[in-house]
Amino acid sequence: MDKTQDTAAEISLSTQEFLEKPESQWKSMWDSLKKNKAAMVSLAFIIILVLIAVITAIFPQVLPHDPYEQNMTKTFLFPDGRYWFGTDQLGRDIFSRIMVGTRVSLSVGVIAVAVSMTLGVVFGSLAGYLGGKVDSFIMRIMDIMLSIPSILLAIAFMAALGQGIDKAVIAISLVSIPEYARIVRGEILSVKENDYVQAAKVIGDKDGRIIFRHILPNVLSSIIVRATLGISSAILDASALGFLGLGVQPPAAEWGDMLGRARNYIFQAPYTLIFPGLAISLTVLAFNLLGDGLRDALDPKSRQN
Amino acid sequence: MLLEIKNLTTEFKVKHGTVRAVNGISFHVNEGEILAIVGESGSGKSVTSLSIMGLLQENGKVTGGEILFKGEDLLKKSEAEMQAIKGDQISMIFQEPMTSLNPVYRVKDQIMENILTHNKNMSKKEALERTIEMLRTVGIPSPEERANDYPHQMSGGMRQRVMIAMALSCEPDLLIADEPTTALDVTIQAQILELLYEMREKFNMSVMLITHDLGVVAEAADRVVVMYCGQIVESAEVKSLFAKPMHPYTLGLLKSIPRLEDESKEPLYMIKGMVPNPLHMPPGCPFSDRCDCCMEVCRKKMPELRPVGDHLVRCFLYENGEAEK
Amino acid sequence: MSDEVLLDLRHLKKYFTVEKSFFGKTTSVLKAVDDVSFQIKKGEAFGLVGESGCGKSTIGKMIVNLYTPTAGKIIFDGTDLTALSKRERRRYCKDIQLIFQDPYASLNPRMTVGDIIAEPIIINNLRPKNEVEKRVTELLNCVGLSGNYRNRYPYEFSGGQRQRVGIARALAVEPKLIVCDEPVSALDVSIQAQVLNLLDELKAEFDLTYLFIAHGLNVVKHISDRVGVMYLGKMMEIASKNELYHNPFNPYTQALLSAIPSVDPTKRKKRIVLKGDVPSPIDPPEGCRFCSRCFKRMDGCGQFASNLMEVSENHYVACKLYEQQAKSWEKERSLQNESKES
Repeated sequence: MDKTQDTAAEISLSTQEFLEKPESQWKSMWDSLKKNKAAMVSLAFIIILVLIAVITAIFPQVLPHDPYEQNMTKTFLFPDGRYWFGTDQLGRDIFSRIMVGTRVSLSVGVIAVAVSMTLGVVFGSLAGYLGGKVDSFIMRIMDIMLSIPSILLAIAFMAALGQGIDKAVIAISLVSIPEYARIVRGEILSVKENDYVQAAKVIGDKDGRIIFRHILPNVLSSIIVRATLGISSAILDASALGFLGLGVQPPAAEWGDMLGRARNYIFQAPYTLIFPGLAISLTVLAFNLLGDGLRDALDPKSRQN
Repeated sequence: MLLEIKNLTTEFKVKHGTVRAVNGISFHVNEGEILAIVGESGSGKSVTSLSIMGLLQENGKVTGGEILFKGEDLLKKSEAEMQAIKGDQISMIFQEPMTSLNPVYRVKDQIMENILTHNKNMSKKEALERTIEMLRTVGIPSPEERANDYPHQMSGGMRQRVMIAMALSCEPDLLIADEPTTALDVTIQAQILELLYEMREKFNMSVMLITHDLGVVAEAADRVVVMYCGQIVESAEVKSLFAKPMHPYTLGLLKSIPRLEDESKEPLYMIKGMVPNPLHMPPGCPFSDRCDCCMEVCRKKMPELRPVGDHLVRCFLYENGEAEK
Repeated sequence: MSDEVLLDLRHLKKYFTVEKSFFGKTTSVLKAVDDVSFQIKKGEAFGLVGESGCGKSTIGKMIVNLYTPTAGKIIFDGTDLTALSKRERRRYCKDIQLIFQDPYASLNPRMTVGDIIAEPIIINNLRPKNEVEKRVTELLNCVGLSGNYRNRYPYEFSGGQRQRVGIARALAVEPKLIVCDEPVSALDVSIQAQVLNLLDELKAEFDLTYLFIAHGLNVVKHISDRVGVMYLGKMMEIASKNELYHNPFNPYTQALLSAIPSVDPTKRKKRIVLKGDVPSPIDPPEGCRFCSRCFKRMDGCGQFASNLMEVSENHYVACKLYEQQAKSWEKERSLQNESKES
């Protein structure tokens, strides 16, 4: 034992100075992200949206007007000091409706992504790790789903499930699963052959634990990026379904639904169209820019020592 | 002197600062000689060759010194002038032939491209003939057929030969070979080294051989330059270096290699510690904290490269031009 | 080194399917390991040497259960591992471990070094929870690293240090046999000596048995007691290291020894330079695998390959040239045994 200690001590002599304070990878990711102005602005915007959603839910009195109060004497008012975005065809304050709609859109986006991501990761992991017949079976189903345009598929699901915002969320979730499954499977296939995964097998790790402990954490970054971008597609999908009248039911305020109903008044009162449209576009843009920023920040090549 | 490097300094910008990969080195390559540059990771040997060829990554830059090729400073040349020299007068082969050859082009196309770029008046037919001749010279059997292969259809040894054929296709004056045999099996390595010899004879070419393998150096080189942490620590003719290594690092390296002839069961000699972090180089001699003979002055001042006998050594042990220990 | 056999490989084969016909019938086979047998004694360091495509790494991977043998038996300490169920085989992970070649790929970049070393201890329930940390520190010290490095991530270490972490991980389960798969090939020369010495010391201290796989004969020779030389999936020669160096019988071994550059420029020897390249292990030819490049080729070599035969004390060769010698050795052996009995 002594001889080993001697050699060991000798060797470790010079290694003391080499190591500085450990830098967590999340911190270095945050540092990279901070440099991306577009991403930071988007992040700020999204945080504001979240605050709006939360505050209007808890303190509806903050809103200048009741978003559901109809007033047929005040229809199609041009935006002014009282009604900042004007009023719609039923005399409701558009501004308040857009604020309230934030909650719907964000929750649809987040819930749909959470569900599809979870299921997609499960299917993709099984397919990628187990390979063989399981892989073929799962991926064929995913391929079939991917071959149908997502909106049509969502409409088909809703035809089966019925109307309503909750059914819309389910439909959107289902439709997005194949994307995540594909990404996860691809990443797993590439990570699976790495030596450290082999090492885990050699020390006696069971398959499930290997997937959770060794493979998924290394796959996490691409999933996060895809998820951020996925939120924006989910919001778009929800808006599209709303636009087609399949999402929320009146009198609920939802951006897509507002957009759909405003179709008829495009010349008469363009602001009924513009503001919901802007809300959707800006939110989607923000998530996309943030997602891009995350992808660049998490790119191991730019982070490598 | 075909190639003369004077005080070359190359730096890289990294997240935590600037790294000086090559720190004021000077050496030369004569016509028709094989010079070996030996070093481990962090020594700067590869960066040296990349600096010569202008192949540094985006964050790397030559910040000082001169690279004189046939008397002219390559650093002062324009992009176009360098393009004309690279592949024609100075060629380079790399360690990993699979990533150096383009997988979507046939072998003959890649070699012909090099020939035609530097010989604008040659016809395609002549270039093809020259290509097949080169493939034959480097020992590829049935070159007329093999010329049509893609890189992935060939073995590692064959690909390296193709690389050599491509590098020699314009009969360069200087060949820079960066770890050409490290990725190859020992029996193939033997073939490639033989080939380099033959080519040197045939074309009277100079070779700058970069490697970490002292065995390869002993077999193949005429002169040796030993690098550590971006500096030259010793330089001599090969027989002299192995017979009487002077710098403690060279000594340590030679002692720590397991020899085939060695029968004893004694533990190998080890150089203690590791290569210092380039961002936190110790003051004074970079080898000081690993050196068995480290003295007070070594930690404070940087020794100069001085002639000691027929070697050049950078070490305070030899300050007076001869060994003090 | 005792006489007790710890690992006994019998007629081990590993074939990979390269091409299948449309109906799933295999049309092209890569014979990575083709009928290899040898034994490793307890406390011994057995070196396995050969060039790319010879199958040495594949053998290592079969022993640690990363590959399943196509045929043959792996008998460890009396138990046939190939006959066990998946769960039963997993219990032997405590006894057989592997050190990987690439120190940069063999550690999970998202786990701290402490977690990496603790994992085998936790999975195999080798220590109660409150003792795990102490054990990790112990192991780090064993390999020459400070216990304070526990919370660092692999990217903060050099190649040599990472390799030490890999060694600590292998030691964590207190194995009997460690398969070292080219553990120093990816390291700098000056670090190789450190790691080789460390492996030597650990072997003595923990009474380990090694299967040391490498392509450098000089490295293998230093650490091993006996050496086996492989070529294209076949074992060509087995002997004690000094015997192999002084009396290489198989022409391939001779060429291999000759090809190694000597670190002495005055000895620029006349080398045996083999012609041609290593053939592909896919659909290999009948007969001796080395036939196409052998400088001592005879008639019949291309048709029939020789099996491994004993040609002198504990020295085995697979080569037609020595069939006669093997027969006379067998006679001499049996005479010796007879005289011992009488």
